[in-house]
Amino acid sequence: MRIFTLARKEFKDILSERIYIITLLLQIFVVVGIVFLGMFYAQIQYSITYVGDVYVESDNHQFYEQLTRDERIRLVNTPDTAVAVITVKEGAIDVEMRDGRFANDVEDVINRAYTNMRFEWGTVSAGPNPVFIEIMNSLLIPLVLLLPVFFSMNILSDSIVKEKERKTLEILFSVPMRREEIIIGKIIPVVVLGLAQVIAWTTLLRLIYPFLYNIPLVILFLVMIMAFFFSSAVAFSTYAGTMRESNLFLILFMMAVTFLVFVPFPKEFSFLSRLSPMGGIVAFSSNPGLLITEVVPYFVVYGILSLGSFYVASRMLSKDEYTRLG
Amino acid sequence: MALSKMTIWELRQIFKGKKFTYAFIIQFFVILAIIPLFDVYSDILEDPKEIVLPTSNSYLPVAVSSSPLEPVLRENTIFRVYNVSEEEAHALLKSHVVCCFVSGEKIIFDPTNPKARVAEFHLQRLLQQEPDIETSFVLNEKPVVPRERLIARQIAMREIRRTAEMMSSEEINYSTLLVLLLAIFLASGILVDLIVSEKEKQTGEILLSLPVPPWKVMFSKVFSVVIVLISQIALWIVTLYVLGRVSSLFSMLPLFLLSFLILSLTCLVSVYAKSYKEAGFAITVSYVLLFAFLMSASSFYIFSEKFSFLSPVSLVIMIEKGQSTVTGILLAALPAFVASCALLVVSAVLYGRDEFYFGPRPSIFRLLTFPFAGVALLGVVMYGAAIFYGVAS
Repeated sequence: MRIFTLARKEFKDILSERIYIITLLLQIFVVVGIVFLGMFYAQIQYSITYVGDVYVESDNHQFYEQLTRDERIRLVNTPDTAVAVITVKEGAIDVEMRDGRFANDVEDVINRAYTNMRFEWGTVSAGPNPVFIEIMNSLLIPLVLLLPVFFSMNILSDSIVKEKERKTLEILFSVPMRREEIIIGKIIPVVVLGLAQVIAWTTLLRLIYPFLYNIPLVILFLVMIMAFFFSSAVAFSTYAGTMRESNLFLILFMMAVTFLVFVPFPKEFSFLSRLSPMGGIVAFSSNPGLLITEVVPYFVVYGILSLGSFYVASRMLSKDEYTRLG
Repeated sequence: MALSKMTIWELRQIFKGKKFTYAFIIQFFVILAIIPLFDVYSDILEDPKEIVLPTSNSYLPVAVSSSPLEPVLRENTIFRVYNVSEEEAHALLKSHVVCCFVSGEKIIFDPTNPKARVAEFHLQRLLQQEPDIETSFVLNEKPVVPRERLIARQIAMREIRRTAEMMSSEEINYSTLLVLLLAIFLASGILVDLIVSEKEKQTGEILLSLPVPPWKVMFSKVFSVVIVLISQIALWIVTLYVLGRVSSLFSMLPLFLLSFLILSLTCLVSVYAKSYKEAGFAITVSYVLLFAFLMSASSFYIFSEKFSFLSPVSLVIMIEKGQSTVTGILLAALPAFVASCALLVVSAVLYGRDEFYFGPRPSIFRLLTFPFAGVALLGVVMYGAAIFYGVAS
């Protein structure tokens, strides 16, 4: 019960800081901005690849079918508005280009349709631009969902260092609570706030982009990531002597995480991306169906990391040399 | 007490803690490690097959059963390949675990899975081959494409071309220089700590009781951080120059200017702030506004050299393109330098006033009285006149 008393007190302290509240609200703009960035990039990709109306006269039905699959063109019934008029007769392809700037694109469309005729393609439902889907699923949505984690690390770190600087940490240690309980009591309000944000952003994202799946599992995974990140923040801020040191350690930690998330690995080392928190979020949120054998490893890895960082944090909090200021 | 003595003392205080010193050294190497990152992204633009962004790794789950396409799919790490029987594949498709199933030369998609569209997009691209047929093209120009679409396409292609050029060019690699902004932010954090910690720990009272003018106390802190930052920037630029990432050592100049501007703004905010939290928030908002202004203002330079004064970032473009002249450098450097000095003067004036340390602190609105408002207004009028002149000519 003492844990919850401490958690309540920490929660009130966080909510009493107007700056945290304003920072939370500012995230809305970041989230909306990120989504529009995805739409913008997809629109650019669409603008440079889309050809327009194409008129086709073909004695090869398979070739015609293949052309209908290509979203870079729109097949029309009359050649009046067509950018290109394609005639396929007895194995020969003739193209009348109405606008020379699209010649390369039309050639690519034809080559693709002709060479992919050798396969039998199933039906795909209509929907958003595939580039937009990929960017949203594999980059922007995980980024949005990890934002609360990154912001909250700062809150937690400040809380510990401030206690050290005001010498109230020693008073806290005099309360009959184990160090582990103190850490949990400090982490709980930050996790609750983080989760509230995650739920808010998930709801917002679903309004703009409905293809978000397995949300309860994603939230559970994020809780595990938070446990790891927040325990690490407790460890860093306990080790740090001042706010300056604490901020520097956090910056280094975030840089390391950024590398892991955004550094493109050569093929031989691509398995390293499995360690990335983004990898787990992408896997769970982007696919409607999941195999248990693929879900469990992520939880195992981050479970071990969370326990490890929690152990380190509690050991450090037990040592006087780290809890004294300076 | 001499300003130099106080500055050296502040410098010693900054690196007093071993932990901070070691972490400071580590961050230098970490930032340096970002440089190869740009090379890797540049490689991606040249040969996308070899490197996959970690976030797209195994993004597309695909079931395969006795298909000649399997090597192609395994070659591309965006696909996660499940080698299963037909029955298992259909079960995976039905439970939406996979977005498509490749059996022989037949490709079946999950119609309800949006990833199927992405899989089709990538498969169509990957399976495309050189055709064994000749295609003849005849040009018969007609205005069939709407003008808006042509413009949108031109803009999009120009943006992509610019990005590719910027990433692959060794001369115009000022994207690498932007990485050094991290160091500037770090130094700003040190300055905030030096000024605000005196209020939070209430050790500033002791400083103010010394027979030293308050402005000297403030400037000793500023100069100590400036020394740290100048040393860092100089070391980085020399390293980047040796590695061939920048074409001219003069690239340091705009970075110094930018650092000076950011530090002076940080100083003003720190003097005004009551606590770390307040300072942190105000600085975040100030930086966002400042960078939005600097980056958008520098884009005017692309249209006309007369707009170079708007942002010191124009200097980077000028120097890297080899277009720098004395007049151009002065035009680009002077406004930012003058603004930085003005901010420091205002900070020193405020620092010397008791209410900013002991309270009650006047509100921002009360601060905006003459001469501050007058100076600010004059500055805005002058800038506006200069922009008008630049546009008119």
